[in-house]
Amino acid sequence: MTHPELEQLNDLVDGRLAPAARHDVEAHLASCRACRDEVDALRATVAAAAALPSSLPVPDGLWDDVRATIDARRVVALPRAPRAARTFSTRTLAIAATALVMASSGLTAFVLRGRGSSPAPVEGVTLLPASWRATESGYIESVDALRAQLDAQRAQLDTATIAAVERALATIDAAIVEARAALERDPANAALTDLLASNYRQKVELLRRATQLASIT
Amino acid sequence: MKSLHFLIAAAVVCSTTALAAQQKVDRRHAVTRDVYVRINGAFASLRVTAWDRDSMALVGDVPKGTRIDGGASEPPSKGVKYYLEAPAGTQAAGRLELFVPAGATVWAKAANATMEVSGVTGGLDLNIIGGRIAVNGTPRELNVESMDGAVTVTGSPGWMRVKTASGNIVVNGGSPDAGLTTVSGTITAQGGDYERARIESVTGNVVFGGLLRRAGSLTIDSHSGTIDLALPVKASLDIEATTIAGSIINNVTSRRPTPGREGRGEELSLGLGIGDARATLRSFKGNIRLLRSDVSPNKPG
Repeated sequence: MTHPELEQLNDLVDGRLAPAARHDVEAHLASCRACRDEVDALRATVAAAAALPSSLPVPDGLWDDVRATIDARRVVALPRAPRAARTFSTRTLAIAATALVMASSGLTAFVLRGRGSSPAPVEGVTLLPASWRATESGYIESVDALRAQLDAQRAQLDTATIAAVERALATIDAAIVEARAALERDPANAALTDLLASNYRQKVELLRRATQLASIT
Repeated sequence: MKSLHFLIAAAVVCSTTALAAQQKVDRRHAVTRDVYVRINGAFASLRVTAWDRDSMALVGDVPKGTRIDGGASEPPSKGVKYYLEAPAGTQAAGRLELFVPAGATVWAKAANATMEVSGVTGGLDLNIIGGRIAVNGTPRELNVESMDGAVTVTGSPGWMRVKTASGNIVVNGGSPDAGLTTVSGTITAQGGDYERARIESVTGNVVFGGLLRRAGSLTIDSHSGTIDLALPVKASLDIEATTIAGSIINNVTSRRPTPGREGRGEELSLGLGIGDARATLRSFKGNIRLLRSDVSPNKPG
């Protein structure tokens, strides 16, 4: 048979496929590594989503941080001229949604674990603006989640690929350390904040890409 | 003389053996003009060419024993999918050519491969670890991800995102919406016009010599790479340049940069013309240089 549609694989993972269709799809999976990879990825996503708590108590002090973040962003630069309306592809929306879920769940986990338990920003955390601390927490938790996923896939990657990823990560980490130390010395420097955020974005993006390499090596 | 004959004979035998170790690929399907083609797996080179037909063809040679899964749905097919798996213990070595209707969307993913695409006006989503990607034409959407592989885009995609770790990025053209990102590769954008462009590097150098449309915006961030902004004589835009520890060199006007916050780094605000576009340049410790280019001034939006 030809490859099943993604919807069929989704239904298989969700246990909603009719018995006859399920038999066909499972027979196909037995001989098709690409589709097996798709199913594995779907199952991993479902498992990750299931692992998220359904509700969370709001810890003391969270609203102070939220208020500080809002205050810091109260002044919004408006575009200089009207722009054409943007449309987003389903893929873009899916990526954005995934990033949002990761960032928010990461932030939640960070809050639940208690502040200061994240590895990198512990020293000097009080020197940084509250708005940046919240942003950074989201990045760090995303990095941690992706890093764990990458470590789990390490055996599927060849050594040259792993070396390339680690080299790039080391370059980004050195930049983060340098920019962060500078921001601690000058916490109100908006350009520094933007540069540091750019480094974190690069790290999250690189890790995201690295976790997708297992299927092609 | 005998040894020469021996060498020729050996070469013939070797090449015959190599040919015999290949298997031909020739898959053809009737497809819609906007067919979605997905190809993934073990190949060393893929050339994608747009043609003016309601069909597609995948042709080429792959090592004997390569498994090719997939195919097309009912004709005219809206979706075609192939997965190639190399024989166990062998490197990907297949050389493939894919012919698709111009409006097709092509998704291709390989480990170490050369991908060359020309003439596709639909969407392109290309992903490699190492190798090289070259895109010629004006796809509606272009998404390229590479680790070490270099990427060259010649054309003006409607939407463009190119991301590498150490691979260099060259764009000869422009885009209404461009995002170019690298960790340590270089980024060179020249020639075309841009409406929104965001360029980020960690250590890689950036050269931007494109044109900004009216009301356009350009943001370039780098940690330690040099940022070169080449400006036409009659450029009309506001420029905000900031370094934390690097220098700013202004070869465009007589205005000198001022010391940055707390006496470190430099800052420069510059208004050229009526300032109907905006460029924000930020580097932690790389230098920022404003240079003259000899291209024509801002194009109307």
